[in-house]
Amino acid sequence: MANVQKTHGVIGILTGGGDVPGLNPAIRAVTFRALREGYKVVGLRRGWGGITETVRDEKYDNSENFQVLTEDIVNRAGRTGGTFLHTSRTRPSKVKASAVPEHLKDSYNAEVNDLTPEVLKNLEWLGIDYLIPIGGDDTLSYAVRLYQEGVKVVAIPKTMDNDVPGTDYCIGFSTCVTRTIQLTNSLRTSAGSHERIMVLEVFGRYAGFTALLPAMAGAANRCVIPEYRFKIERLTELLVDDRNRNPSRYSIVLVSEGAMFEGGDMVFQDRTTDAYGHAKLGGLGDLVSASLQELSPQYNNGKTINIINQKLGYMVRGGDPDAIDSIVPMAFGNLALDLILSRVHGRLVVLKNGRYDNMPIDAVIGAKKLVNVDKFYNIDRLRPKYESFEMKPLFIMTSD
Amino acid sequence: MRIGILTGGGDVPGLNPCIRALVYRAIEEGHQVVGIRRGWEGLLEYNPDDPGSCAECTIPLDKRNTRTIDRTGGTMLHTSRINPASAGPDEVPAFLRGSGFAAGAQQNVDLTPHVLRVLDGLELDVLVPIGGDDTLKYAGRLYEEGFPIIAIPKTMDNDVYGTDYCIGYSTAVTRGVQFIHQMRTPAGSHERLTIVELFGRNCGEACLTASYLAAVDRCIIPEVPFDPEKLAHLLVEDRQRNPSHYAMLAIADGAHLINEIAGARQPADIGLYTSETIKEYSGMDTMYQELAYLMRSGAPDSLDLMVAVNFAQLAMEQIGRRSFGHMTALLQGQYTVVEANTPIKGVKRVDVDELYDEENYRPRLRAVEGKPMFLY
Repeated sequence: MANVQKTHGVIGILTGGGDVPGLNPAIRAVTFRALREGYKVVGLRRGWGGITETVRDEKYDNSENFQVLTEDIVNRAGRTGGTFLHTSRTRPSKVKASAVPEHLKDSYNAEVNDLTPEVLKNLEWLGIDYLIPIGGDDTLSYAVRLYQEGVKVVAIPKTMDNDVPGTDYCIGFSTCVTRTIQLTNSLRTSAGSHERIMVLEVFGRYAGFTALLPAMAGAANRCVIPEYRFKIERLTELLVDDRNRNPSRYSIVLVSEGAMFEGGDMVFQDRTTDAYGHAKLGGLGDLVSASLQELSPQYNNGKTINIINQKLGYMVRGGDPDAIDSIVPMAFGNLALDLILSRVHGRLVVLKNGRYDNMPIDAVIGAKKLVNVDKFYNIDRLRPKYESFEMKPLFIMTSD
Repeated sequence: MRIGILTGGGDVPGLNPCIRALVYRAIEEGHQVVGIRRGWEGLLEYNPDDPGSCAECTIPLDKRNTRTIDRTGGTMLHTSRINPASAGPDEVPAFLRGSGFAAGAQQNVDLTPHVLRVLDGLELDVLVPIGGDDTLKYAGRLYEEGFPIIAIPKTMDNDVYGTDYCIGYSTAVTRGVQFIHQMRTPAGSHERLTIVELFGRNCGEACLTASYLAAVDRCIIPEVPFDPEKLAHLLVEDRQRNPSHYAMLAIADGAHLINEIAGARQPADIGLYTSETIKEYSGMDTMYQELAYLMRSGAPDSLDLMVAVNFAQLAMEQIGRRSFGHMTALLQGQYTVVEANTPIKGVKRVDVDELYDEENYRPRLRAVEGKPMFLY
């Protein structure tokens, strides 16, 4: 029909931070609706990377930095996990000398450079009227910066940790919980066959939702989360007891990678940090496993209990989105377009107390969203609390 | 007849359906079935003078308690890795200490005389051990001692000598392929060199076959030592050629570095080491994931159900004829039996000449014609 003739403007879209299932459906939702409303859609590649490295020269091949999106392109990608626009942790306001694009090296030669002026010029050069960044709190904190610089931004929250402030739900979280439950259940036969304690480490740097929700759903006997420093002796005692009361003689603990022993420190697999200054975690599962095995005789009549130690790692965010992560991106994408159509920007689309809504974008630079230990975590039993669910939204423990 | 069943070694999907099929046919043919718990440990810890230990070590099996077990992986009988021919001092049961076998033992002892007495006390006519290389080597020993044995091979590595197929192998390959593909969305989103580590301590067959079927870029197996620098170069090229800008490496956890690099010591965690080393050589970020236990998680796939059930039928056919001293096997695509001590007689490894490209670190199949379905 005539709607393709109307050009309301150009919408830029990008995905930043860790990949999750649901990003491609979100890109599809935004693109479909935008094209039908008469906008043009440009996909910016590699998070903030593409728009930072764009060369403002018609003759330059910028195909690695952005691409015009069509229904055809997004339709095929829309069913799959990950993000076909690729992603990165690039933060244009803090670019190390070595990471400054070649053509900008003369103008930006400090140890750390703020490339925001280039990003603004590139957005203008591309004719982008509205920007829809999809990301976690790091990616979106730079979106706040651009908003303050005058860019019309509508942000969509995603992260498997579900820790973006301001929203109860982030794209990717449900698939992560679904996979964790599914993989944990399918590993039970190994734990039972060998009568062991099984330690499953899951991603979750500061927020414990990825361990807490599967444990609440019955996937594990115990869980330890970054929000509470546990005693390893208590965990051993509980798990040995769980195992010995189980007719199949095994028990399971879900361990957030960012959890800590009492008196301990976060465990680092290596010392590298990403552009946002986070040290990479990983390895607490190994430490918990070794400690459980060592302490087990004290609680098991002197007999050692062996451990199955498995990192679920990327396996909980690989592959296609589940139902919730197909539905929510569709809703978030259309909510973003609703806002743009009503000329509203500087907003974050959210789920709040079970309902779709939006709020000021600077919500994302508020305090990290963490598990409310008092309400939802039993520090004596090292497991979720199960009382007072009435009138809570569907994802019970994730609202403020 | 009274038939004993046990499962030993690592759990795999397919053990439970095998147990169920054995029990169902045995009961229908009028036999009794005794499940021995925890592999050979059940026979070691069995104290004929202590009824408590009898209940802990054995369980009568019938249609009722095996009816639904075929739907799950693992083994309802539990399992262990104990070898009664060489039991460590702390593995000798208390009631045997000082009774001639293990008096003040400092080194490993052979507890076979006790095992034979227990088998006799249980009044078993035949024992059906289901296990991998180690479990079945001890079955071969009992066979050589004259006890009636029908062995059934299982292992996710497919490395029992004397059969082309072991229960659990197909599911391990299926899971390997599934999880490698699942890893592609994070790998592609972040444009990384990606390292997936699979179980395969000595034999690289599961890693190689999963690599071949999942079409990974490169694959490292224990049979062929590798040079991480060369591997890094290959992966960087693979990544450049891929429109989604990533490369995928599968590596068995028993892989070795070439001597020039390793010197006297191989790294303890080869997957993590390779990931870190490739990062250094390439200057690119890597993504590392170990599949480990996930490869034997969940219910058996249809091929493992097929072989598990048919090995059970084959075993019962032998028992029905009182033809003992065999291991069930698949050879050249056909169900058959071989002598029960066959696993002792050799070692099964990847046929590198036929199936692997040592120069380019990837599967290479030279000729399919005449090969059995699973290429082995």
